[in-house]
Amino acid sequence: MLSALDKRLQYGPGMRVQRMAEALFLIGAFFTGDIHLAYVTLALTILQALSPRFVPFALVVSLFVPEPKEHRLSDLYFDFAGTRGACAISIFVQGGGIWLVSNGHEILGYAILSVPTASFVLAPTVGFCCGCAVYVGMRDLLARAGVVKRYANGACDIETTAHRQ
Amino acid sequence: MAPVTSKRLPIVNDNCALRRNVAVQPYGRCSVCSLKLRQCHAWQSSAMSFVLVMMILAPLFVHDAWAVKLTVATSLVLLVVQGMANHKKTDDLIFGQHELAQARTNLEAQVAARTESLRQTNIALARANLELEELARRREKMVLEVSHDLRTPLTSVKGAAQNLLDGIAGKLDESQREYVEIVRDHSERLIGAINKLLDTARQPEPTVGLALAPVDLGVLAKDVARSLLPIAEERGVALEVEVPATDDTKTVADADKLRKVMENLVGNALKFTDRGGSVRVAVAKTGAEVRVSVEDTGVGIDEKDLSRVFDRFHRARSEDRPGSGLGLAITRDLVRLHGGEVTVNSRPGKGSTFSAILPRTAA
Repeated sequence: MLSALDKRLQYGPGMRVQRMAEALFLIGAFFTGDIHLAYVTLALTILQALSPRFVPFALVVSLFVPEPKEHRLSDLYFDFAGTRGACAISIFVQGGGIWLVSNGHEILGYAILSVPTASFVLAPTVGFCCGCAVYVGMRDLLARAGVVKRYANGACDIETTAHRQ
Repeated sequence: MAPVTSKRLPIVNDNCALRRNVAVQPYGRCSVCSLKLRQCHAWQSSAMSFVLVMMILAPLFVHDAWAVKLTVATSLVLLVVQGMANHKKTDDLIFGQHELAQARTNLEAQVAARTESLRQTNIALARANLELEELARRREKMVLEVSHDLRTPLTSVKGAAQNLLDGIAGKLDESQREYVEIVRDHSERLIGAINKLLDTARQPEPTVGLALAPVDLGVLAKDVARSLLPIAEERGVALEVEVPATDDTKTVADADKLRKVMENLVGNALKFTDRGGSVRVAVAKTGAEVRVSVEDTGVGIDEKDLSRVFDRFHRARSEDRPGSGLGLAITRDLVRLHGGEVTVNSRPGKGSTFSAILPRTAA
């Protein structure tokens, strides 16, 4: 069952603002050339990999926005395992990009950083989360191979049994 | 965690990586479309947008000029705004599809409920039919038993009386003969009555049919009014008939049944109109129909009784006026048999108007 906070995070605009803020820090790094801004996004991503409820911008927004009566389609930018899985993948990508920029490989580093940047830009606007897609796809492959179990809710894995028949 | 099931809402796209959500399945399940991933335009569009964002950011890797930054920023904003607009359209479409699916589900539920209701009605009708058949069977049995039990002794009584009259038990004087003749004659009458009862019981159920023929309702109304005029005069109520000379008030109907309709309506009006009042019968052509209106200045009908005035055995004012409560019900049935309808307007204390609207052609 979702707690009241979970509902506010899932159905309200909080996670949209969170993703926009993360995108802005990364874009800031692109425009200013200051890689330290990317550290902020990385830190925010690590927090969410630890717990999907560690979302400071979303929590602040949820304090001021009334609880939504019903949510629109595409309001979902928050779920337990999906967010954690996507953020865990993103940590490696961002970490790699930041490490490359910090060690003089700026073009390659920023090229890699453009992947999470694009994801953070598109997630709150068009509802497309690259990390989520990769996570879901990977879990599906692992589930097909019998390595992991399938779950209906919370894990965001792909059920393919019905389509196989 | 429960295993995945799509039984509750069968149109679930388990392959949707966009994770569009609705209330029933909030966690990463599209419960709207049934497309597979490779068929999903939203997925393809989003993936393309993803690549475009990366390409737009690419010039910043090598150029630090303000013009490049401005171009990149503008492109990003355009892409995002365009993406959001498209995204909203897609969502509206999906939302509409979801509502449609919900409406379909509701409709199916309504059809199921209606079907169940009809099934229950059919069961009730079948039960009523069986009960009627059982009642008819019992009635026939009872009539046969009663008639047998009555006719047999009566035949003996009649035979004995005839024997007495024939002098088998000795000669009868005039007075005795007279009494025995009474016994014999009444026994015969009773036997005749029982035979008639038996014949009636053995007849098939009556069917109501129409003997259709051209009828001039204007002439019929005048005829009915003429026959009821003595009652109107006795009650001190003025009775008048109004038939426009220009109107063709002919129709094809069963004259006897329409006469009964008019007699009921006019008789009712006379019954419920006090001395000094009036009853007006009007026949008029209205399009493809002929309207027979009977307007009185009588006691009128309370609003609460108005909807039940055609119910069988319902009597709005029974305290001072005799009646069975069947007249208006029969009237309505007879008019409906012709494909017409009876309406009523009334105001308590002011009077009532009953109108029989009949089609000008045969029913």
